[in-house]
Amino acid sequence: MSNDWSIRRRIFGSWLLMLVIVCAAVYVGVNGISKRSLFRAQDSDLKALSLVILDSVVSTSSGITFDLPHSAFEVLAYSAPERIFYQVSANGRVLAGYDDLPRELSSSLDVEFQTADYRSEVTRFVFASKTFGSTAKKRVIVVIGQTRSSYMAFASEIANYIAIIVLVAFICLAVWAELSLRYSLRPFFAIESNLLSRKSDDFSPIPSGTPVEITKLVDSLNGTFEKHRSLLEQNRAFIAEATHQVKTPIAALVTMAELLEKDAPPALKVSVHNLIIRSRYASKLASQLLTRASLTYRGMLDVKAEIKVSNIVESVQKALDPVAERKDIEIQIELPEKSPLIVGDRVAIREALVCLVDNALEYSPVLSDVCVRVFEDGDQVIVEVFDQGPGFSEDPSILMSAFKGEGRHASNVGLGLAIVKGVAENHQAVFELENMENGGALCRLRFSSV
Amino acid sequence: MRILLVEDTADLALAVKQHLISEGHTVDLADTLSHAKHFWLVNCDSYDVVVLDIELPDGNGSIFLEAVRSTDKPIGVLILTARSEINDKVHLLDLGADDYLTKPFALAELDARLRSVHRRWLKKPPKTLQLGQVSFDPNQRSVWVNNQQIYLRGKELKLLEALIQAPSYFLEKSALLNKIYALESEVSDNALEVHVSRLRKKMISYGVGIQASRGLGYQLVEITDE
Repeated sequence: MSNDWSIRRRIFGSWLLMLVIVCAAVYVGVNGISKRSLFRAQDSDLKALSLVILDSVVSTSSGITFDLPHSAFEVLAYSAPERIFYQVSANGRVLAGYDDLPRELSSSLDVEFQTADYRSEVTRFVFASKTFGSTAKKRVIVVIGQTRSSYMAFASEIANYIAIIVLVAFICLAVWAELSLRYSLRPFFAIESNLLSRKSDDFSPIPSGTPVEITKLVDSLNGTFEKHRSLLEQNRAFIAEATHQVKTPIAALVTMAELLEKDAPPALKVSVHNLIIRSRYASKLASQLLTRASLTYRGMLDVKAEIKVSNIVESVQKALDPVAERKDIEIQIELPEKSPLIVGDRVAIREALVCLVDNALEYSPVLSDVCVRVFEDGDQVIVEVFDQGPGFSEDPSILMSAFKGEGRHASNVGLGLAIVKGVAENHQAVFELENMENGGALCRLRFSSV
Repeated sequence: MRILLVEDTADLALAVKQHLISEGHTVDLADTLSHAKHFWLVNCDSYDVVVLDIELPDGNGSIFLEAVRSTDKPIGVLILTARSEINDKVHLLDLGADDYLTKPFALAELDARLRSVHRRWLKKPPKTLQLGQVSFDPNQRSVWVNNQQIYLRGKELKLLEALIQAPSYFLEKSALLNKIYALESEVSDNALEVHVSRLRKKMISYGVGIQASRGLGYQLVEITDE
């Protein structure tokens, strides 16, 4: 199941967004303040100069006179390497300076500032006015202009510094956010690691020491573990008890029937014999049902390890030899010199081979051989069980289904081959059934080798 | 064999006891753990095999198994268990059981496993029938090669016994068949050949062969390098 979102990414993303907004606001704010400070300083200088000029204006009967304070211009030039323009006018007539400077005042204030393009440069102008005379009024306007390129460059430089500082702060904060997130989420990773590393039959509680925010989650998980452990334990106990309760009376029935057969009168011998056969079938079916339940339970536990196939085959031969002896059948085993290794559940694979060999023994004629052969074919380990019996009479795919048949006679339905099929599926192995050319059945399991 | 049978299911226990007695064994039947301990205290030296059920009303049979194995007496222990769980069986084998038999079982299988368990604890007697490296003890019906007991099936043992008792002459097929099969048994034509072939395969690695002669039968011979 794929899931694209994560708590860490979501929190980190929101923190990052907030950081971007804050950093942008800091940049814009600081940049604006610095620019404004620069421009305000320029305005102060321009205003001071204009007022100095205006103060030197004297209105006499011969006209307007004034002094241009060159030292003030020099001071202005020192403060910023800009071009300076000036104009002194009285009642609209230019007395000195540049005659193309703007002279329109937008208000009647004594001092006014304007920014305008002048000679292709952004220029800051200050307008200072003073009215002379009581009857014949003369309004003298001093206009000082100064370009702004160096101020703009300086403001831009400050903006760059601010940007760098903000960027560094952003990176530091982002790293800190990531690290703090990782640190805060460490308990989640610890729980994840704990869950991933535990075996499927490990239902021990998650160790304590989790943060309060996930205490309920951990308690809930531990509660679920305990329920599963209890349920599996009940199942295990039930299977064990059911095995005992079902098999013991059947064992008594079979044993008594066998004794009865020895001394039974001829008229009853066939019936007693049939009783034994059906009792054995009932017991076999009960065994297979319980074996299947046990193997299903083991499949859930996923108890797999590296195992030597040859050892299992030898163990099966030893276990079933007394059964084979009853029919004078020899269980032959053919093993490679070095035992092949596979990964699997030793118990389940052994039970599967017991089913196959037991099935072969049941349908083999007396004094025949049942052979178990193990060999490697490329990256596969192959286990074959074949006999000298009548072979399969039905479609193998039907035979592998539960209660569809053990393969040789319709009366002998069972779970043996279905158990083997289940074990094969649980081990990603291939289970094949076929009839041999010379007669007899061949069952083959193909496992992946280690 | 003298057998201590510990089984609490009365009808099963009686049926098994009856069968074992009919096979010529002496059987003491205990239906509880305490009863089994009592038998053991009184007769522990005389038992050859203990047949032990695990689920007993007053405790687990494995306790008795541990008690048996805590002594150094050469006694075989065959477990009767209804449990399918392999872990239980492995645990019992680890505790010192020689073999286990899962209920329900056929009496013939019980006999075969009893023989096997009993043979495991036999010691080579001073007097045996000998051919080459192979010794046969007719009393215990056991086969030895260089003081190591080797496992043979029931019919193979009977065949070897007949052949080793007459090492200097051929035994007729009919005589051999009579030795290994009951009179009323239905025997296929090639039964003897199959058993002889299987025994020959097992014995050849110990330097003993089975020589066949048309019309005369079979003879056990020592294989020499010449």
